[in-house]
Amino acid sequence: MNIEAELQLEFMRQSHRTSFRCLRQDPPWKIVRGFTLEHGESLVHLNNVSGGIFGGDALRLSVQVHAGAEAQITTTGATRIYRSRPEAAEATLVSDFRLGQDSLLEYLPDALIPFRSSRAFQRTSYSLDEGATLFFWETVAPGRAASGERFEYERLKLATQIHVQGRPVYTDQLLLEPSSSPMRSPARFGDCNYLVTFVALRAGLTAPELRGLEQSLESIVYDEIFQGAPPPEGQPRTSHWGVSSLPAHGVLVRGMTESAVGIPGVLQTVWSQAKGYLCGRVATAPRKTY
Amino acid sequence: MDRATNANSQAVAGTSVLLQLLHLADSALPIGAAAHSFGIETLISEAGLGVADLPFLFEDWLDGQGHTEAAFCHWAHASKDETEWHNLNAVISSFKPARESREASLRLGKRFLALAESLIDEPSMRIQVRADVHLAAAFGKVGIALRIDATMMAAAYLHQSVFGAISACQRLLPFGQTAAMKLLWCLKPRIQRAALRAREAQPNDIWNIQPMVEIASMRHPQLATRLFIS
Repeated sequence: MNIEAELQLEFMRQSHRTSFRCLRQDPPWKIVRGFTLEHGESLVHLNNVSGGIFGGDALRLSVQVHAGAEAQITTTGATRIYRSRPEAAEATLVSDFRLGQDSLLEYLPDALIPFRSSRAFQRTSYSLDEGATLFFWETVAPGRAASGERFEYERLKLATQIHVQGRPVYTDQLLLEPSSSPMRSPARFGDCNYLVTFVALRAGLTAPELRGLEQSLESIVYDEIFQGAPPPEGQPRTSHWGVSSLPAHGVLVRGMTESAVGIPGVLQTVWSQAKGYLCGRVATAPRKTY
Repeated sequence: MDRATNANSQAVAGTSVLLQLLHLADSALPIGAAAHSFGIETLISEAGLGVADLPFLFEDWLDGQGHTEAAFCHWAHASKDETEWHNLNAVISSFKPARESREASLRLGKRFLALAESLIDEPSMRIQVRADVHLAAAFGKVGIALRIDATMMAAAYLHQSVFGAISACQRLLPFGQTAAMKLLWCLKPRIQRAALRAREAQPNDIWNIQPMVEIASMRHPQLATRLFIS
């Protein structure tokens, strides 16, 4: 039996804080409660009571952050993409975030773990109105790495789009098919296993502000702590991090690493730096146990 | 018109198109393509890319990014007016998050279009708005002006791009002239396939399959020594 399930959330500004409403939640989605953070943001944990997505399942997440509201959304654990039956359609996770004028969204999910023989399509879209601010990150694991499973899934399609006032500023459509293409090619993953993405963006950022944000992230990302010790002569790196401004409004930080150790620290640091630059305040890590 | 005259005029027209295409798709066209490596220099310096990897690198590139670029060329060729064509250029920018590669594509696109404008006396070449122009979109636009089929333009564009990238590899690796030409020759069926597949491509079915290339392009400005510009 395949499941089609939807979770609909909306965040509203009320006086000096943000409140949220859950308009719809079909199992396995589950929202327990929200927390109000120090600056009035509303923190919501996304629960998936099945722990992940099965082949053929279609999960949908719709989030509206109304004008002036500030939301932080995270998950309670990694999203597992379970092995698909041969006849099953690919699992799909479609997420749609709409950010109203001068709103803030921080979408900080745990890692995506595609299990052996899984097939999945994740499509995430963000639509921002003037003055809206977005921070999101994503970590894609190679599989159940602790048990030695690396790139044994069949296919993973990851599509992410950001539109600012109707104009496209970021379109990332990544297709990973370890079943038919070697992931160890130097142009794919080389000696790395994890793919990490972080985006910081404000609709309406001027060109000098954009360059300033890029430089502020470069200053920490290209620090040796992030890059790890230089490899021996003639050996490739096992950790690669890059920073680049998008065509407008925001900056992308993308990395590939051999190990998952250190990824949360890197993400926390770049997020803190970007939030300090764009919002003038500290980034408060989501309330949960790491 | 008798049969022989008709065949002769068709041959003249075909030869004319061929010569124009050879001219514009020449890797030595003075638009500055030789100054860019599109991440390859970083892959060699930091990710261990070697001569043995090159056939796989370019085959993968043609199946992924090359197919995407060919689709951009097709869409530019099919654009109904200048507004649609400019909107396409904005879409192309959004597909290029690495500043180095995006700005290289824009720089080459502007120079290519300016050069083509000076060569081709056609109303469709008179662009009113001087906004961002990517090379793939400029190829599509020139195809309209010269009445050259979109697939042909896409194939010529891919050939020029691959030729340029192979030339970059020759300067960065112990990779000789004969081996380079042999590689380019062997890639021609793949180029043709990418250009043909792109005819039916929709925005939702173009995929990047080489994530390290993008990161390499993002890291390029940080390399201690560089042959190519960022």
